[in-house]
Amino acid sequence: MNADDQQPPTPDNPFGAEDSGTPGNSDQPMHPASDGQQESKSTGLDSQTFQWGNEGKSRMWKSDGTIGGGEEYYTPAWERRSEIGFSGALFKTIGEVLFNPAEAFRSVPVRGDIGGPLLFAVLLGTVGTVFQAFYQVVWIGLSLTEDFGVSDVGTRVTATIVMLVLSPVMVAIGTFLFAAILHVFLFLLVGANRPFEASFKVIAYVGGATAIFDLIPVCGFLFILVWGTVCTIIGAKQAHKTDTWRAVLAVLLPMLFCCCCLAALAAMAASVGILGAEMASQANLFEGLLR
Amino acid sequence: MILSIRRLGKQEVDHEMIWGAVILFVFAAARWFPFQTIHPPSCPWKMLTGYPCCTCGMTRSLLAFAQGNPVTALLWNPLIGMLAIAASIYFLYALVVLSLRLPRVRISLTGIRERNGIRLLILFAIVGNWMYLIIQGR
Repeated sequence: MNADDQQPPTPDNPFGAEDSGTPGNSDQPMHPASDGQQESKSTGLDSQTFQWGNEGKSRMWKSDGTIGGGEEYYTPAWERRSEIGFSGALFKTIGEVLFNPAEAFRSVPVRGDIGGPLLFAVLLGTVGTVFQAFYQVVWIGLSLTEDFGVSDVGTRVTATIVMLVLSPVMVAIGTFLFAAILHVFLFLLVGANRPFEASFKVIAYVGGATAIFDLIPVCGFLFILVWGTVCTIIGAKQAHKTDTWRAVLAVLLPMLFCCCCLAALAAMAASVGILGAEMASQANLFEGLLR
Repeated sequence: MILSIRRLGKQEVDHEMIWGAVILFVFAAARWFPFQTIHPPSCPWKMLTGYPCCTCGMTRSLLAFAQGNPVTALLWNPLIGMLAIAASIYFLYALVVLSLRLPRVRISLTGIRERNGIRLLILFAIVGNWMYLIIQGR
């Protein structure tokens, strides 16, 4: 889809999101069967309800048969957690994002409530960090790791604990930064057809859902890297209603060229722990624990 | 290009709050966290090709800026140095509008030419910065 053929942005969109071309409200997603392409005529199915997947209520699309007329869309399960319950919404959203990202992001609304997706990412990201910290402590106990040049066991344990405490903040900051990078690259590739909130929701939901792979010791990060990249590409394509190649490049180019960004983030994470470790060692906080 | 000064809508994202907090955290991290005590991994791009990637020197640039050396920051990585200066200005603006509850400034690009111009500007900045890093051998 070429954004050059599309509607001008609204004044409240600072990046000038190139609209998807859907008639009516630009916040509304497109026809689920159209896969990002406009249809020019009625489907011939008047006032019918179509169900997606195995959750009728969470993925239901109603239409009077014409594109842009009488559509009614439902938000992701997590954004309806007050209706369907916290844990139900959590697990349903994880399942949708990991195993059916195309539909999970096809109808994601892009206005308002970025607090919900942020909570999803921070909550699951923190849980993942807790498990990683546990594995780290076990590994340290078995003396199996030797990273970042930090050799002292006490420093490592304290670093792990401090990282654990600060992980919600770091997950939140990281989510916003990665969303901004994704959106800028989509903009450069003429693929940012919807506002920043769409990129943010993709990063937040994929980051949160893939954080459950942190429960897997040793190789969990590989699952996060591979599955997370695939889900982010699919999510970006669907949420922005853009071409696949644009989504692929927008996700992979920063990973290819901005590898130092990732290194800097890793360094920052390590620094947080080391700073805490130095402070703790001055106060002899963990002296008794390590004996 | 439309420049508007207005109050936030009910469901509108508060970008000043979000990015103000992000900028504050990043600068605080760059200022106070002991980066010099760790050994971050080498740039894989530089290891593979022998040339710096377009973000090489980013951390050193941010550290220099956070410690009050903007010129050094610009020399390490001009793009990141300029972004850091812009981020500082944006942070001050966000601080003022949030604390005084003032209307927000919003810029929207209305035409294809404007968008393409911004795209070219970003590409030129990235490529120019990369060329500088390669020439300087950072």
